[in-house]
Amino acid sequence: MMPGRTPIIEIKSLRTQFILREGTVTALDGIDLTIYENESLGIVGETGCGKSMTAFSVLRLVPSPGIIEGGNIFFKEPKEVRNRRLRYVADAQAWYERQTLEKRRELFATYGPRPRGRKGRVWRYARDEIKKMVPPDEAPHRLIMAHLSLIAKEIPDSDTVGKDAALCAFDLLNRSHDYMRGVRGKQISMIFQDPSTSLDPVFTVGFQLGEVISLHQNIYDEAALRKKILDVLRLVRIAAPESVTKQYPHELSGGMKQRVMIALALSCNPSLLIADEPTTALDVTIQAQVLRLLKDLVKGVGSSMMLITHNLGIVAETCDRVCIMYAGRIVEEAGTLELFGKPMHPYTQGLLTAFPKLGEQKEELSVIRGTVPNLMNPFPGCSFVDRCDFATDQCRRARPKMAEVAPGHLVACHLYPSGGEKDNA
Amino acid sequence: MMFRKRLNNLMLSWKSSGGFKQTALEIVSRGSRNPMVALGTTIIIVMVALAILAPVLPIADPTLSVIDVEERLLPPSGRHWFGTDNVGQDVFSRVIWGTRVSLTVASLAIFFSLMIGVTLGLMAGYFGGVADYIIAGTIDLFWTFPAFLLALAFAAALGSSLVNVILAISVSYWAGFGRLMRGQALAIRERQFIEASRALGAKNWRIMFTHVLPNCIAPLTVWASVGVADAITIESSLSFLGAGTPPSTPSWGNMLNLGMQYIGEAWWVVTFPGVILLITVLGFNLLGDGLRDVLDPRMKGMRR
Repeated sequence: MMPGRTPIIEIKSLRTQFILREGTVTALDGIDLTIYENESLGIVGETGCGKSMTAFSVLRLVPSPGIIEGGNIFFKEPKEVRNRRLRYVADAQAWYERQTLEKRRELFATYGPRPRGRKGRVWRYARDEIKKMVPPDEAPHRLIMAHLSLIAKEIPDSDTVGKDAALCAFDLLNRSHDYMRGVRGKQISMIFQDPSTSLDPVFTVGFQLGEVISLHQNIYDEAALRKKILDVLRLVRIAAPESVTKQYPHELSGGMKQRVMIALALSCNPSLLIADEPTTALDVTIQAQVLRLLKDLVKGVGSSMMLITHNLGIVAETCDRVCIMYAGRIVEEAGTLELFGKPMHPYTQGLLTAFPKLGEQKEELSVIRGTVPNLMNPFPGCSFVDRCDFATDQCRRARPKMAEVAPGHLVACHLYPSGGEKDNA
Repeated sequence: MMFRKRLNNLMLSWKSSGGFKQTALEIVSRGSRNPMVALGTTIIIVMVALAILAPVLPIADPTLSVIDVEERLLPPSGRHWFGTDNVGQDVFSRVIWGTRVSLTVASLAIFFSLMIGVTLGLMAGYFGGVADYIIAGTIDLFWTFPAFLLALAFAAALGSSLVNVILAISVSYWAGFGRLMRGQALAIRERQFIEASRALGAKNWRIMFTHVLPNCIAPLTVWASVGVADAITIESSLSFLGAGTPPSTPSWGNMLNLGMQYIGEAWWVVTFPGVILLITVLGFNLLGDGLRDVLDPRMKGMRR
């Protein structure tokens, strides 16, 4: 899609589900997402569309009874491994397309879905539930992955690159819990929505910063640690770092607390920073400051950022690329300018018209009619169909696939021919 | 090695935030401004000093091997400040030596119940699931019995000795701490800073002991200081009923037990230990109540 740029994280067909007594809620329904180095990606959507769940899935911190049911999250995969993997996946894809429908069903029964996560009662229940609900045609990704592991068996041990590629060694979902703990905070950091509840109220700011820094960077020298703490506080433009280290979170203002959170998150120069609505709990005047700070710091440190928000204005100001999410799926993905100039998906168009513009005389604010569908009852068609003004029969029958309609601009909608035809490929 | 590394990390983090000295100074200065804490602490310090200094103080021998008929049941005077008891022992000296027994028993018993209760309660509340099911069930089982009756049963079964009394009180008292800790852990586990520290790469171990536990310090301290008062009462009651420390040991409960028989003819034998017991319990209760305000960092700098 964008040749020459190295992806820092590549999410493929990520499915996260919540297994409840009343049924299974599919919070993420096959997310494909790539964030490149030094890039800010905005994820926009309504409440409950799975924005935050994407972040928690990446960190593998999906709260119980949630389960990452399938997919891959490739993080910092070396270039040669990635190229090799893409080749193998293409092979597997070709193999999959050669199979007949009966064969596919048979394979599905054997390599059927297995939820990831801690094994136990919930896990077993989830496995059975998933088996019941995923029709084989909906999940070619899993069979392709299964074939990949067959390919891996034929690769000699000496070919480490090939082994890594075929076994998806850089997939965060294949990593151990210990490895994940090292990743969190050090390589992937997260900033939460409400800074006033995200800091431990009984410890001073200095203590909390010191804990993270000395742990992740193995600094056991007091002077060096102090210097580090002050440095990182200066980095987030806190005026008097010396006194702030000795203060408790409740003594700081909201904007200061969020700066401290940003300092905590950036203290170990993570490759990826996830900001989950970082300015929602802040004053409007502070919002701009914090956003500018985030933008500058991410560029300065050389990290990538995943900015989760429901505010298109924030995205316009901060991000290079935008993903629009709806009901656990990504419906449109484009560069920021492109998206604001030429929104394709009816949902995106609705979002943009619902956003009031400055200096515009309007009697009534426009809204998108209807509400988000219940994710507990999956249906074959497009999830936006009930609220869409352009819905057709095809929209009810088949789920649209993401397709490139302009360079770097992907949309999942039957209105755009190249998007609809690729269905069930 | 791993443990040392972790400890080191904590100490460093603490130092970088002003260190122990600053924290301690802060608590002391806040505490001295709180009249309840100041009074409670003074009482406790005096009692602890008496307990420690008992052997070197110029007071009479608290135990006599033979009954001194001449000295029996003397009223308070210059020679015997609190009078003497039925075998001629000096009540003042016995009260002071009794401080030693009562405080040792109470603080050790509370220490052990705190250890058991906090560890189990923290595990139950933090991990939930099967661990919670088993531990909370056990706590409820112990909780069903009144602490005193349970202690009485244990003490009676084990026989009367100092160690057994400590054991009996710990066994019957830990459930309260467990319950408190579990409830606190359950609530704090859901707070966002726990999620945040998990997202920053902290282990369960670290989250439990450096984030969940410190957030429960305030209620635990309050409960513990009130608990010490409770334990003193339980110890005295046990001794009073004859199931506690052996009769020859100078403990407040024993003295009350003994003095009750002579309450008509010699009021001083029962009154002085009772008053001292009351003051000590009051001291711990005051401290506990006051600490709740002092230990809350949000109260820092507030004048009251």
